[in-house]
Amino acid sequence: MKISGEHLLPAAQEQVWALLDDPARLARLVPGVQKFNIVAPDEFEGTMTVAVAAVKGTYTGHIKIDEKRQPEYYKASFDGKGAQGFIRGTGTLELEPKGQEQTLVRYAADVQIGGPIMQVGQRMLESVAKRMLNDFFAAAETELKGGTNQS
Amino acid sequence: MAALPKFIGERVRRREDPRLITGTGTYVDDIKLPGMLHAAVMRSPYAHAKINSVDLSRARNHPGVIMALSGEDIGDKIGSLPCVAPAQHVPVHPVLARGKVRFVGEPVAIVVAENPYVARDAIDLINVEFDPLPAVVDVEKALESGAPLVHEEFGTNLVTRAEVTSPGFEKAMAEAQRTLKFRLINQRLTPTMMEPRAVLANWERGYKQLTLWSSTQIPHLLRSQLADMLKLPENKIRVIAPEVGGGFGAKLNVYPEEALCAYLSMELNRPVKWIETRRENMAATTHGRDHVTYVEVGFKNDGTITAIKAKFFCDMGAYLHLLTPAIPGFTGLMATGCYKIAGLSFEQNLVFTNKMATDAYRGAGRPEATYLIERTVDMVAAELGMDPAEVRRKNFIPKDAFPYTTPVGLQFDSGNYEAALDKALEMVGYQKLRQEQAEAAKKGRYIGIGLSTYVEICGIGPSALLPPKLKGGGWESATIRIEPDCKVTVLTGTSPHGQGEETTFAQIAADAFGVDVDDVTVIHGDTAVVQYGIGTFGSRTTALGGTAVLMAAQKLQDKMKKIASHMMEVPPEQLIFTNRTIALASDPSKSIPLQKVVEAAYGYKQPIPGVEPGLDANAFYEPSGCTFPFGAHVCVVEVDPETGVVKVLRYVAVDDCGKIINPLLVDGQIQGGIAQGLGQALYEETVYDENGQLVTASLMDYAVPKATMVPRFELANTVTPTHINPLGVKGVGEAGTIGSTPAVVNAVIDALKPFGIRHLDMPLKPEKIWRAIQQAKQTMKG
Repeated sequence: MKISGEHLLPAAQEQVWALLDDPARLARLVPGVQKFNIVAPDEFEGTMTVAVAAVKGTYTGHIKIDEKRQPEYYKASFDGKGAQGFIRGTGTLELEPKGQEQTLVRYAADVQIGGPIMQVGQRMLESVAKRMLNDFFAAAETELKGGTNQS
Repeated sequence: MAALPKFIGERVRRREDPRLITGTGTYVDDIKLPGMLHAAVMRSPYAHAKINSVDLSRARNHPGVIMALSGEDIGDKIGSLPCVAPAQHVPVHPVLARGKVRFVGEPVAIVVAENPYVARDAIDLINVEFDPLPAVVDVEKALESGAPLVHEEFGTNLVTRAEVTSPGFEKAMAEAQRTLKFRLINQRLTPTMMEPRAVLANWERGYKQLTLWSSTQIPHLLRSQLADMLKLPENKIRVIAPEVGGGFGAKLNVYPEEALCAYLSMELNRPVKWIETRRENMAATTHGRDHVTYVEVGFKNDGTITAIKAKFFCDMGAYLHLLTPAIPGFTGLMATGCYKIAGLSFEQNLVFTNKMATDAYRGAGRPEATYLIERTVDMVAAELGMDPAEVRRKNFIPKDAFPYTTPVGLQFDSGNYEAALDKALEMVGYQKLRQEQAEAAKKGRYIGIGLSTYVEICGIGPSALLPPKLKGGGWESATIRIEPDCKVTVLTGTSPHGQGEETTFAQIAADAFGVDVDDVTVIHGDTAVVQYGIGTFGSRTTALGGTAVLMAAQKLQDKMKKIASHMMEVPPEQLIFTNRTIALASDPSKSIPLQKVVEAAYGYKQPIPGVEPGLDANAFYEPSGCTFPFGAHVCVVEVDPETGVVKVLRYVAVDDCGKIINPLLVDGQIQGGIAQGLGQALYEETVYDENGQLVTASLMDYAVPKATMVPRFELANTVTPTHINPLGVKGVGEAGTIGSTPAVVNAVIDALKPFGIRHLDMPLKPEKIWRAIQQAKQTMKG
């Protein structure tokens, strides 16, 4: 599955980069994250719960930042697995300043999914991914505006 | 007492149905034994991956879990799952994966627990470290150099390549004035029987005996294979197939869970049950079809087809199940269909991919052959601008040419193909329908008429035609006992999974002994009760099992005639069985009640010279050849050009299965068969994505036709008996599936003719049709 899109965040590029480059802060914004540990510079472990159709599962995963160009680009690889299947793939984030106050975030990911989550939920995967991204960006907006994050 | 009717040929209602429709039959899952445990299987989420480690510790520590095993734990304690069909490369097929997984759904570990819910929960606690490998999914790409190898030890994904060319093929092709080349896809299908697989194993330690209940089509063959795998004597294994809720060929097999439950019961000294879920069934019970075929046809300007050349790429999946590599053989051999085509040449490439194995599925190789030739005939008709009915007539094997030997040496027993087509065209009102089609076209309506005239193979015999490693041949067995109260017990070696032979075999036995059909009980599916038998598949039940019943009845008749002859003082050859008596053929009023003869045989108070006491007889029927049923199907559809939706307006089927024992059951088989064939044509498709993930893993995504998607059928028969067996019957279990798929596809393509569309691959879903129409419109504009 390939996912791509863009989202305009109401903050300067440096601010957005600072957020995206702070894994602990970032993890709080991702829906369903339960545990998050930094195991090495640019390498993280954690668990998260995701529900796709009737299949709700907890996935233990590993994320590694493979490439980073401050303050505009990074590329990460990830893999996660749980009783309900596995997810692995690579993703990129690109930041483009839109004036002083706004930054356009372009994201793209190539994701492989398998197991029951795929077998039962494949028709829903894309919309679930979209919803999670929307939730994430909404939380990021709140965070960047200095509000409290509820996720 | 009123005279009893003859039962053969009558619409006797299925005697199985009252218990089945009132829920009082017994399926495997209905059986509950004291101390019974429940198994659940952990399956691979990857199409292709190395297994680095399997950690069962958390599962084993889970409350209620009794045992958890991986492939390494099993080791060589259970032998490889069998493939009895010949192939160049036959991989070891472990019951639980060892070292590597090769398809999504492959069993990796098994858990046994006090109840099925705990067993399922414990599956989630198993931690397997997989190292994913690239998967090979496309049957043609699998043969390219550099493709990932499903089994490295063979150095190739090619299972076997076979080439067959009939004598005179080159000459026949050279005689063609035109040729056409095209590619056909016969998509992968999921058999989707109503009852998924189910196993219950009970090892009785004191008796050193294993009883295994399984939802199987082949209790005896399964027993033989399990004896090998578990190293047990065959007389210490009892296999019972109770009610079996359908199989369609997918239960003509030996599965990991059967051996695993047996092994676990022996280890634990407790009964172990495993019931397959629907999702497991879709991923890990054999699939069917899955061929890509390149066809070249040579023909003359008058429509005469001179030669056919085909190159098959047949997807075997990751392992070879019981008959996997044997199934495509029927496709090549039957590729000339019911036509007198002088030359046939085919090359068959059987290929490993990272998918579930394919094997027999209703029709098993013949639907693929019929689709190939029936689409070919329509392609020729379209190319020449001829009526497809006329191209068929032009090429039919004439009715006086039987027995007919095909270019590749098959012997067709009997046939009258033109009569079946004539009848079908008359029923549908073909000429008028073509006019209506032309009228409708003027109004912008797209009506299509599709024909399919098929011939297929049933009752496969003699035994030499079956795979050499199969324990058991092309024969079938029956035992008949007449009990002391004059009731008749028939033990059949075939084991039904919904066919209704408790009814048809009772009809045969009732007529043989002049008794009522309700006086007969048919017993099947228990290897401790029934003599060795082969099973139910390949439309063999009536032709082989029915004939064995008739032969056993004749042996018993001979004995009873001797007894009656002694009592009546008339020669035995002058006696007949009628109306619960044995009577003088020339004067049935001179008779003796059957009951008296039975009493004499059992009571034996007066010894009868040359006749032993008791009344039973056993027969094993070995056929001299196969039977070749045939028929003509006509499908009328309307395609909505705005949405691409296909509506079936009419469906006429004329089937000739030789003599008919029970027309009601024949109709039922044809109806179910057509529904499944229509499913392939319009809806069904087993899809793996490019990584080998099964996308159609539930009935939300695999479209089996529902009642509203199936039309009303207009059914009729022609009757062309066979000389192969004394009943004159051919077989009908798969005919509907075989005949219908090309009829539906030909109808849709016929409807799309105004758009210049010559072919679309199945399933003909609205989206595919809509896109083709849009593309055609673009082309027309350009």
